[in-house]
Parts: sequence; structure tokens; C-alpha cells
Amino acid sequence: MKKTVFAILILCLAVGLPLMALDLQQRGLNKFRVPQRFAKITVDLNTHDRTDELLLERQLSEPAKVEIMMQSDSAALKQVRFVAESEILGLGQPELEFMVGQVTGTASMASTTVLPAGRYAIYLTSHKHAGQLVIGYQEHPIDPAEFVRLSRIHQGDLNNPPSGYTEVFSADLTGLEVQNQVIYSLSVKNSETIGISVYTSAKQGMVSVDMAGGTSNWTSLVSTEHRICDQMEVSPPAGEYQIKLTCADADGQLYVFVKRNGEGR
Amino acid sequence: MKRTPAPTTSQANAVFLFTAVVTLVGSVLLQPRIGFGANLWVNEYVYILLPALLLAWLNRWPLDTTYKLRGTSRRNRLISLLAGVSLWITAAYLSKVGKLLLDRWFGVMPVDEAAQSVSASPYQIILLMIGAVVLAPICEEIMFRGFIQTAYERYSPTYGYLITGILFGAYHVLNGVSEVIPASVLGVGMGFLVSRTGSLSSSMLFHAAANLSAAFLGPALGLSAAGPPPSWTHLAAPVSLVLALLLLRSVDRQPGRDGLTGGDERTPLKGVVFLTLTILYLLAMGIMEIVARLRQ
Repeated sequence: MKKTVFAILILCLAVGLPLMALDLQQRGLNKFRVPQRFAKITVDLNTHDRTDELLLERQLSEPAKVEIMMQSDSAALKQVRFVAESEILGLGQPELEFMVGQVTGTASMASTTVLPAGRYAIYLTSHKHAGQLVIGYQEHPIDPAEFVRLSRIHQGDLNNPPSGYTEVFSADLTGLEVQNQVIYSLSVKNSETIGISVYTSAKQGMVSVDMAGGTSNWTSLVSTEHRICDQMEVSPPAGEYQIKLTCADADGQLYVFVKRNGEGR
Repeated sequence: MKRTPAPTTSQANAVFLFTAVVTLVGSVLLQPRIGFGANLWVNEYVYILLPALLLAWLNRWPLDTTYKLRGTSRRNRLISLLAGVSLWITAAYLSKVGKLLLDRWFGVMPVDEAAQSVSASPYQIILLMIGAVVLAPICEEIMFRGFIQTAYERYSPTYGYLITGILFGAYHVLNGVSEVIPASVLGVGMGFLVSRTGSLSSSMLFHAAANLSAAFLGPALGLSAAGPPPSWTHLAAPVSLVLALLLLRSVDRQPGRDGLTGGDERTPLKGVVFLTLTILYLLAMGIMEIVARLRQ
């Protein structure tokens, strides 16, 4: 028995150590995983200190959805600012700020924004230290009708759901004081994809719409800063999920739309 | 160092405290770097198995008698496997109910997506499977049923497996508060087997069967999905518990394989101090989870 146990332990080591080495090697090769479809900027952080250094400047000839993703193998925090010339639909300010730490492999910091025609730019503030920052970006021209719909939501006309989405909740947020109040519950089956669109016109106070269930949770789908969460598609593990609202001293309205199995319900 | 003829409760409590602390500290430092699967291997070999073997070597304890690292009958081995699967169903049900209640009372536990993504490679999954089904049953059984239970058996065999089962459950607070009661139930079951058979092989097989069930039966039976336990488990859990108890009772008692005793009969003060520190530490871990849930 004793010999068998130690033989198993040694055999496990003989199998496990090469597996760990292979895993480390693969992780080293795949440290940065920016998909092919993204154009890529690689910044060597070890050359000099940077204060709002312009990394990228682009001109959009038509409204577009701009996806950006960032990865870095350096744990030091770097400030990346994404600045649009006019406005970013769903945001109060025409800029986004990211604090990027160590994010590698399949993890990344990412954002998708909808911009009207015009210029946008990316700036970096960082101290000199070893490591790299990789920024991927991609522009997709947006359907004019879709842009008009999102612009209306951005202007405060929230009842403009995408095709196939059904309203499950709407409320005037003025005077509403709630903490994690369940506003919609849904039971998700295996492999089911749920589409969620949440819009708010709140510009003051505190608003947060979250979705939670089992071990999965999505926090701050919208807030006073990020007012549009459009067509977020998720395939969570089967189970019960709840959309919750937290609201205090807010103004404006809130609309929640859901799409299930390609059809509104 | 003063040698002892058999494990003492002071040694058991000190090593348990050490293992509980380094498992957490080591995991926090290593898991983001080496992944979940490889980290489990480090936990099992370095923090759990090594201290128990080191103490045995320093004190010249024979592993077959002191840690009961010896075989048992084929019948006992088969019963251990079946009891492992059966009691796992009850434990999985308790775990789901516990998670559900914690989610309702304190909110959902935040998920560390960055740490999860590091662990997602196929190599990590293979390491995790081998770690859970082969290494954990061997290393944790040597530590808990071989070393700690032997130390506590100086009072009585029943006291030995009950205390060790509870310590085994408390150790699993590092996997989540909801795992404490299910792991205690499994721990008491494995402790009873060792107490009855005088052999770690029975609890190792039980442990392997339970972990294998968690890996494969859990997803297949819907016990790994989010949300409340499937309705059939309300009946299956108590039935499995009864079945497991019947199986455990049917294990052949091995004659002349009672626990060892040695050293002092009373637990010295430092043993109590180590145990108190461990309980406070594990309680703090549990409270931190509750706070994290409330903040979510």
C-alpha cells in the first residue's frame, strides 16, 4: 500500500511537471491575445515617462462602432484615455478613461463605443517601467437607421428598443429610492442566449442596473456615466437570474428590454 | 526536537494552522501566475502532504501503523467507493442549498474573471482533474485521517473522526463558506471508514469517488448549474445519506487496528492556542467572504 501510494505520487509528478511546463510555455506565447480582426498598437513602456502622449488618431468618415481592447504584462497602472471629437453615444462626456494593470491571456480591458463621424484619439499616461501595453482597435460602420435609433436614446428618447426586444421594465427615476430591487426575473435554460438592452437618461444621483444569478453577475449595466447598454448578449449557466435596480437622488427614466431565443417575450 | 511516539494534538493543531495559512497565502500569490490546476498540485504536495511526511520522518513514525498507510479487504474498498459516490450526492445537495441561502442572505459572490481566464487552458484542466481525483485523496487523507485523526484518537476513535471531520470541513472554507458543512459530512464519513478499517486506502478510495462524482456526475445531473438544486435531489439527498450510512455500517471492522496513543493524554495549552488561532483564522476567511458578498 505504502509503495503503491508513493509510486502514484511520483508518477503524478512525472506527468504533472511537463504539463505545468507546457502550460507556462503556452501562456508565454499567448501573453497578448489580440484577435486578428483588430489593428494593433504595441507600446514599449520602458522607453520613457509619458503624460497624455498621443498613441493613435483616427478620422471617421461616417458613424461607426469602435471597439478597443487593451492588454499589458506590466502590473503598474497606466492611464489610457479614449477621446472623441464630438460625443460618444451613451456617455455624458466625450471621453473614456481606463486604468490598465496586468491583463494578459484571455483577459483584457475592452470597450465598444458608438461615435458620429469625426476624429477620435487615444492618449497614454505612464511611468517608465518594464513591460508592454497592447491596444487593439476596430471600426465598424454602423447602419444609419441604427445610429439614428441610438442617437434618439442618447438624446433621452429611451423607448427605442432594437428589433426583437421586448420591454420588461420602465420607470421614472425622479424620487425613486431603491437598493438592489429586483425589477425582472428570468429563468435561463442550458445554452440559452439572452439579449439585454438597458437605457437611462439619468444625469445625476446614483443609478445602477445589475444582473445576477448563480455565480455569474454583471454589474453596472448602466449608470449616470454610461447610459446605454445596447444588445448585450450573454449565455449564462442555466438557472435563475435577476435584474436589479439601485437608485438614489436620480433624475430621468430607465427602460429595460430583453430578447430571448431570438424572439421578444 | 523532542520526538514523540505518535502524533500529538499539539502537533496536529500546529500543522493544521500552518497548512490553512500557507494554502491561502500560497494560492493568492501563485494561482494568478501558475493557474488553478497547478496551484492545486502545490497545495496538495507542499502544504498538505509535506508537513505530515516531514513530521513522520523526524519522529520516525512508521507510516503503515501511525498513518494507517496500509491496505484493506476488497469488500471494504468496494464499499468505500460506493459510499463515496452516495455521500457525495448528499454533500452536493447541501453545498447547493448553502450557496443558495448565502446568495439570498448576503448577495452573490464576486467572480475573479482574471484568475479564471488564467486557469482555462487544457493543461490546467488536466492538472485540476488529476489533482482533484488522485492527489487530493492521497495527500489530504495522509494529512487529515492519517496524521490529525491519529492524534485526536488518543481521546477516543469517535472523538478522533468527528473532530477531524469538522477540521476537514473548516479547512474547505477556503473554497467557500457553503463548502464547510458538505466537506465536514464527507470528512466524518471518511474518518469513520478509517476508524473502522484502520486503513487509509478506504478513505482514499471514498475521497477519490466523491471528487470524481463532483467532476463528472455533478454536471451530468445538473448539480453544477446555477440556481436552486434540481427538485429530484430533495428526495435523492436523504436517500443517499441513508444509503451511505448503511454502506459505512457494513464495512468490516479490521481487528487489531485501533489508533495509536502516545505522549500526554491531555491537550497541552499550546495545542489549544494553535487550534484557537486556526478557528479564528478560518472564521475570518468566512467573514471576508460574507463581506465580499455584501459589497457586491
